[in-house]
Amino acid sequence: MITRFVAVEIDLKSSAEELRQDIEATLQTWGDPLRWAVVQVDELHRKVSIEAVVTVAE
Amino acid sequence: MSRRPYRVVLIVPTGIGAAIGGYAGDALPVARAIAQVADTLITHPNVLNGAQLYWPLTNAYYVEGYGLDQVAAGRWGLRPVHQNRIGLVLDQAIEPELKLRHLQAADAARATLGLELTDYVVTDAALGVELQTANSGATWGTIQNPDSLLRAAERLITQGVADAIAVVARFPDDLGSEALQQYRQGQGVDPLAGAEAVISHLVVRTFQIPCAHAPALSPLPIDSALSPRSAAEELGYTFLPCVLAGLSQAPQFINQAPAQANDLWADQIDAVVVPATACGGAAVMSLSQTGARIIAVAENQTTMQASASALGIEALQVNSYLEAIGALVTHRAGISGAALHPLLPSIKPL
Repeated sequence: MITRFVAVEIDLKSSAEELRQDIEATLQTWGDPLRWAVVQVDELHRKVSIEAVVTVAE
Repeated sequence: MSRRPYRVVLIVPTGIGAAIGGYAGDALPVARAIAQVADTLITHPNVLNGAQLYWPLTNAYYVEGYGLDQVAAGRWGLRPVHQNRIGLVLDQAIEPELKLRHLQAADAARATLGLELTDYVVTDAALGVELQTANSGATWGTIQNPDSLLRAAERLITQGVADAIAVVARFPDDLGSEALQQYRQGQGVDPLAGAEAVISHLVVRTFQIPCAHAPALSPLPIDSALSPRSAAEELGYTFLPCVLAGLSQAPQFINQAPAQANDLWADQIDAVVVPATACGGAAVMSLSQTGARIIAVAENQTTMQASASALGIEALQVNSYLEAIGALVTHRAGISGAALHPLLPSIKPL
């Protein structure tokens, strides 16, 4: 297993629950999410920046 | 008297430069105050850990961050315990004298605090902690050998019969770094914090067991300008005492069944207190869907830019933790906060 830092940008959703699910689904494409946070919200362009650490099987 | 127990979650994420709680357990006074108005306070190691300093809050649950995320999402519950047997994992990379300091801290916790520890395990490889600061200003980290960490924890759980895991990993000494100098002055972002969270998250995710981490570092030269907020971490040779104290009675994580009367699940949480710019964590986003009152504290500034309103989360905005505590008191008492302001407009048609 390795740990990997990931920074991604996704679309802002209308609800926090929808956004949380989208974040976890997006991070799953990089590995198993271990820790993540929304670090910035761009309300004008409807984008959120996420920083995370995921694990990946070697 | 409340009609049911009043339960509050206090979150101050680590590694985001929180003005209160981003240093050496300096959110612990906030936790102590909230514990006076709540029947149960649920919070995480970053809030309660002050290295050599800690405070025994009999109504506080010491819940690791990954575990708290799972509880908030309704996947896990919390079961209070009388005592955990703590297994100690030491990074192979810790040099002999520093290792001995940690073993002596563990022995001190056994003799002076009466804590129950199993025999310890040294990892079969150096964990290889790597630190980084992201564009947001938050600190993150990775480890090169997570499998070694997990093997050590597994040995403690299966052979040592540990109920909780304390990890001590060797962190890089960087005496001349600007980040460390700022941190010692109670400014900037804790350069170690993000990596610390990753270490404990790995153990909790894999074993569903309480875990917390203390970094192993060489002692720093004395600094006459040391900030009070950072002082607790420069009193001794290790950061371990608070971790052992916290883990000794940390609640266990449970799945659905069988249930016990004192189990706690997300739908029983009444309020969440969080820095106003740091509402974008998994726990807050999950709890915003449960009906819990979210209280966002503006004065606790962070490097994050994730407000409740921007995320579509309904939250009560307050300026300070004193105000937050007042909001908790009125919420618990069933009093409308509006009635405590001098101007109260008349009721209007919907």
